[in-house]
Amino acid sequence: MPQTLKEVDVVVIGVGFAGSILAKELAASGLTVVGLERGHSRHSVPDFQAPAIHDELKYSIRKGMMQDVTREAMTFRNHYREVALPMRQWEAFLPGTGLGGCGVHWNGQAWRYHEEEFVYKTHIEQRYGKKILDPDLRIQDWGVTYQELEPYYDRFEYLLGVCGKAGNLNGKIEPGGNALEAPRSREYPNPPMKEQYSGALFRKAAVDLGYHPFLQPSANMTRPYTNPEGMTLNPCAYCGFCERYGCEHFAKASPQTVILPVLMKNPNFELRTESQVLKINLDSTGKKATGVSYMDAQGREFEQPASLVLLTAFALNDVRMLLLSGIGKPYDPATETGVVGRNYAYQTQSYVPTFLGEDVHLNSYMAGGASGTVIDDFSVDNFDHSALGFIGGCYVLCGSTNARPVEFHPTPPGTPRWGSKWKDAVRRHYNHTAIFNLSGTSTSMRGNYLDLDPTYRDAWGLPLLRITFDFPDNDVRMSRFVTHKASEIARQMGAKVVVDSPRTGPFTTTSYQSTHNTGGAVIGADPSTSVANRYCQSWDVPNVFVVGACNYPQNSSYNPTLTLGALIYWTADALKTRYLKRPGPLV
Amino acid sequence: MSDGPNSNSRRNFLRSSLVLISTATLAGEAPALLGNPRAEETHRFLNESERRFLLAAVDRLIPADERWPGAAEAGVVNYIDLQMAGAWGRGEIMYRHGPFRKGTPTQGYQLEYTPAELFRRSILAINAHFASPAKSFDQLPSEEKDAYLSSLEKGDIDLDGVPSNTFFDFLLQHTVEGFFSDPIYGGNKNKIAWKMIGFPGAYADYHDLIDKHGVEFHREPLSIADGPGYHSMTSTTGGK
Amino acid sequence: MTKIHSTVRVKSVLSMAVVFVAIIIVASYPAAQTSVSNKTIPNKSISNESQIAVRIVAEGTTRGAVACARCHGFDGASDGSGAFPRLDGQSAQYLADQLRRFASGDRQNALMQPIAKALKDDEIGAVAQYYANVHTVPLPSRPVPAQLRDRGKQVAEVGDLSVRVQACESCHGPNGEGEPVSGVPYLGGQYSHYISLQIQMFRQGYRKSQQMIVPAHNLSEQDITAVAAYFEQAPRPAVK
Repeated sequence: MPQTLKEVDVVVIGVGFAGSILAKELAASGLTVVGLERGHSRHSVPDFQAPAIHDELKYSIRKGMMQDVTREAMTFRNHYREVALPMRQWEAFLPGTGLGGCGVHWNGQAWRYHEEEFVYKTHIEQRYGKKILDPDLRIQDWGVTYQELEPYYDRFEYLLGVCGKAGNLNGKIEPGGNALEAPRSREYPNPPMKEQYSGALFRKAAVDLGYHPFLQPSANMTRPYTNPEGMTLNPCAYCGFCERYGCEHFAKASPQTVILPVLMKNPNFELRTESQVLKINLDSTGKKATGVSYMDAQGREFEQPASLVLLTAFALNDVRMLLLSGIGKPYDPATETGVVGRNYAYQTQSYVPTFLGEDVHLNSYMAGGASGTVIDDFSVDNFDHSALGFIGGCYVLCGSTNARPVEFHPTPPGTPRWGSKWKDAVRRHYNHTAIFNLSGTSTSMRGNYLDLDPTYRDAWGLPLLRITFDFPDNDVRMSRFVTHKASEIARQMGAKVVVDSPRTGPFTTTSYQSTHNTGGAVIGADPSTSVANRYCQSWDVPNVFVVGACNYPQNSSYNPTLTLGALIYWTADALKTRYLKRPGPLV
Repeated sequence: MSDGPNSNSRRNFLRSSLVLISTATLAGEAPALLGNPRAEETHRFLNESERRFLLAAVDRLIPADERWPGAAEAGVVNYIDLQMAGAWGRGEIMYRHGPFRKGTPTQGYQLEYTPAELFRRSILAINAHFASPAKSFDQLPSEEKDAYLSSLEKGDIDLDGVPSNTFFDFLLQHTVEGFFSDPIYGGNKNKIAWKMIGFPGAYADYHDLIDKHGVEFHREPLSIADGPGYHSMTSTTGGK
Repeated sequence: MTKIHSTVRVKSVLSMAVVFVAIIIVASYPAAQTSVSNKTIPNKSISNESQIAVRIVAEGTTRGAVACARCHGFDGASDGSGAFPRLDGQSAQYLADQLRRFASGDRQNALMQPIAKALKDDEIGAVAQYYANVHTVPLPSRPVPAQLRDRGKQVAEVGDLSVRVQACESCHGPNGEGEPVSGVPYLGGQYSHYISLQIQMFRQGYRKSQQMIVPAHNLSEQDITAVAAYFEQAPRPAVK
């Protein structure tokens, strides 16, 4: 018999960036807030200290910081005609767990999206006409504009201490930054990262070819920084153990380094870790949440009543929670009815391995998580697609985030997979090879969606999330085009061998690409094609807000986190200034 | 971008006066220096015939040469032994609920065997293929070993229910892991693999070096075990 | 944390104290090496650059640089008081960098600035190399109370969450051995008084380092004493 706990004002499901910030804002407004985190508590000291944290096998290969796949996996298939099977190990993407969530082990790559992306459908149809869209594509407007989100981007950037150089300050193009970026109201809080050797070589080649390189914006600090919450961060040591690892230096912007200590000091807030939320409970009308049910580490079940439920458990888990709780109509691709699980998208990654020869010592193991040199000339809709027959694009980045040898030991094409020739090639190319990283748009498609698996269950007996996904042909054509352009830059760098490696289908779960899973609980102006309104408030259950990359109708070229930060503060504002004054639908 | 006002002269100093810190790391370490691979064996999981097969197999996957030891000398079989004995081998870092069905290549590993079961079953089947212990895999000439491994790799052989390419990929993956991971896991003995490629290891502060483009940085690699706070012997759990 | 007005006072008192102590030591240091009780291992070869270095160390330069040995000794061990650092076996990159910072005023030190300014750039490189190559058997370190050493070890190896300080060794290496190529100084075996003083220098802004500002600021007085005491008795790595 579940024990019913004392009611609180707010329950937050998942204490990562979204959960921490929303909890802090609401607790500071005087509300009682409980944060339920299924993972463990962890902190910069002792949990992220070196040298123990620099353990490639533990964290990169055995996925030490990731969601416990033995208890809570997901199933996958490329097409809905196939039978989905469990992803029995994490490979293609790595959902996190634990206090701080993915904010602990991300790379700190901090991008704003472009203005037109928030009105992507309107923009594309106006610029190119509907005919450019393959019939199965499903792009949508967000219901909120870049201009509305700009102050919240700013706020999140200053919370994190993002390091970069403004390229467009209130419409004025600034030298040294990204001339193609959306206008920003003020400069970055900190100057850009130091440039790697591979990035410097790329920069010269890119300029030679008429492109506009710049240092990518970074949430790993370039100098000591104290944020508006009074948290001080240290400069990054470029240790090459950023993604998949916690930061020993308090240099990576994570909930632990930018906000959690402030939250933990507020007596209005209570953190409960190792608390697995099973579902959001609804009243008999099905239109009001009464709180959540969760299980603790001892297997005891609790009901936590609350007036407001914030679902901030990472994109994929958010969608699953809505489905498990019966909030919103599940999407059916056959009939194209329903909304929960609709518009699932990903990231269209491709690479250009660039072998520079043994006299070029790149030292790629010296790396920040976000210290690459990049061009924006081929991102999203920054170039004219009229004659190209596809939409979308990639940013092209050169610069390593690591050269950890189990993961990184490139060999040129034609090298055997093993044996003495392989070994010799590894030795000869390890410190002399750059890998361009192209991060491409992922266009939502009718057949790509999320729902609950009919067969496989988690350790609590609940259905796993089922992912049905493959790359739309549009994105494959896009990848071929941009990767080819990137290869030209590589050749311009004087590389001995350049491997033009665009993304081709089918999407496979067996090799890592990106953990930018988006969509499934999209926001929008139209309840028939969105799960939440522009304030991330569920259309169906107004006292449930879902805030995550699941809100995105399609995915951009850019990493999603900074845009999520803007949505977090935007939602916090809506909650504090409007919802709490008059609970109910905000739209 | 550096701290001091003299960063340019610092860079010049570094270039002009310091390129190599240890000639030993560049010249290589003769395989014999790592000692007999049969010495210091761990015995947590593998039996004698499994170990014999694996030593011979990993020796072909990453062979020794005049300059650099290979997987066998580097203790990769110890690594595999310890991994199979630990959480990873026992399948505790995998979703192991059924039903088990054959999937598409994009759906990844779907066999009902834990990594340890996969190794045991496959190697048993491989050893059974050879006529007698006198003609076991490890006694084949190198070219024939390579030919056999290639046929495993192609998936040409059924290993008692395990597609041989699934086993081969597992074996290759574990060999690379054992060769390149931190020595605390039993392989990469004396950090030999890190020395070969020039990876400095677990201590990694490059704040002042990252923008010294092109400098040849050579340092004796450092393992987690070189930290005074590290007390354990080789780790069996593989991380979890 | 001291308030603003008293910080200003402390700054000037501290700088006067440094100069005062330095003058006393210089005045009392004998010209010959009669007080040296450490054993100095001589350099293996005398190159041209080494000859230049030895002359500067012993006699100073015609442009007015005082002989290094007068304060630092030929063995780099100085007089053990901690007013002057151990230089023996220190990173050449680091020593040269610090001399340049003394010269420019980036690192404020009334005693070292005129000396560093008087040295030409190649002379800086030479004396830095000289002390980098000196290997001195250290005197047994002073006994440290166990509680202080344990606290120092904790901060050195793990850090302190309550003041948001990471483990010193994450940059300074195992046992604080330093990172010679990138120019991170060793702390292991360095005089505890010198370490404590330098942390104060970072704190007050007399030394500038992006990486040291926050840790220097955040450490409590007791923890500064503890890490300094811990590192003084930490084992030095074997001569390579």
